[in-house]
Amino acid sequence: MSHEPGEQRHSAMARVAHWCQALAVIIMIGSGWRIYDNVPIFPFEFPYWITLGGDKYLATTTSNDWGTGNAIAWHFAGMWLLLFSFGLFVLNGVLTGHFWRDLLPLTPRAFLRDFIAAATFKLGHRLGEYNAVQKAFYWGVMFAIAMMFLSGLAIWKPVQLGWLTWIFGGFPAARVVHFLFMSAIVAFMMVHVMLVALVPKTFRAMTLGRAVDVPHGTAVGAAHE
Amino acid sequence: MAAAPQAMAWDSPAPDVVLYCIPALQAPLAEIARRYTASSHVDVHIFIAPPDGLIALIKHPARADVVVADARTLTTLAAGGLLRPGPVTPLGGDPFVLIAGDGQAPAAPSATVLPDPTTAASFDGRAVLAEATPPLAPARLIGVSDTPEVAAMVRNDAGLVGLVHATEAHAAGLRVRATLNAPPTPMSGGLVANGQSANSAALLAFITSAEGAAVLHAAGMEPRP
Repeated sequence: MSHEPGEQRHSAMARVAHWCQALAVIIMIGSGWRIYDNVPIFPFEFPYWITLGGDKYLATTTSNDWGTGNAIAWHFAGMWLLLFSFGLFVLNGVLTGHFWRDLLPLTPRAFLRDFIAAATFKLGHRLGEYNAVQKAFYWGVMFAIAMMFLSGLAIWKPVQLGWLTWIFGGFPAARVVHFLFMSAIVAFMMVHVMLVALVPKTFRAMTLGRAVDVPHGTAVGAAHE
Repeated sequence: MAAAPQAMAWDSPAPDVVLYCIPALQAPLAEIARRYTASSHVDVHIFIAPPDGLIALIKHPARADVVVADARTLTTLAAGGLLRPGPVTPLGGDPFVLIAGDGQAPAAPSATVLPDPTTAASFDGRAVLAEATPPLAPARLIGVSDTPEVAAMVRNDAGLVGLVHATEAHAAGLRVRATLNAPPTPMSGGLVANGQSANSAALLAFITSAEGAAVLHAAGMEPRP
């Protein structure tokens, strides 16, 4: 919901959906790491202190595991929150026209140009305007969340949804897919938070609904299209 | 279920024995442990966990002295250096059976409940059905996390049949509708590498004795080769 150049607006629905998604993703990643640690698929484990599932020694008194049962409960709770908030976000994007107004068009040429500009610190940012790299990343993270849902369903119900598990190449392969898209979402979040730290007014816009800024840097990319 | 004991440094070997096993073997091992305690005055604490949880607990490590599980789990533990060197002790095979609830046997069950092909399950239910001779292909399958959930669902819905090990059907008092003509699950026992009990080997020897073998056989297991 952008209006004038240098102004960024987010509707209440978009803000609620955004922060609910942020909370849900943090819950799901933290609990997912604890679940992963129970049976790792790669030769490493996540440090216990950054996982979600409660005190692992206390957990042995209730479920005789290191908090895996707790983590699964968190994971499913986060799943419903993410499902509804992601649905709300997509609904908002479609109804308000945010998706095609702000995130389209997107061409490989524009992405390459803005990516090179970003890598050489020549890509400016203006509130309310999305460069091609941002557009690609937002589409990418939405695709990753959708794939997380599908691969998660394949892991959750590999008998009832055997066809879906088969599409992913079986249960072990579905776990790998789930892990890889989780990694993509974590990478997106790191870049996302870093850029918010660089342009704090985006945080204000996503929290209070509106922020205004003046252009800065050398703007190339979407702002000039 | 009591809390799983934590691994800790002991100045001298512990007199009691901590036995880990998969759900299928809980009932017969509890009877064997009772007999062993009666004859030796050595306490035995039994903890059950599905294969992945069992491996995770021993790996972390929780205190464990003896482990009895399917041969695949024992192989995984041995490969990870979690068992004392040497061959594991075979205990015989646990056949697969289709169970029905206490009500009238359904002539045409509405669905077959079986364990999911996940790391949390004792076995892959669909693979077992496919290995049966002739292969069984029920119209509707319901996958659940492991065999205790299979037994619970069958007990609560007279229209269902479930796939479990013979020992679990025996322990749960559920009627065996048919024994599958499929390779039974080979069960084995082993000594945990960092076990702390002075009586670990004695308990394992008792499990494999004629008296222990008789209990396992009465619970539904085939005699060891």
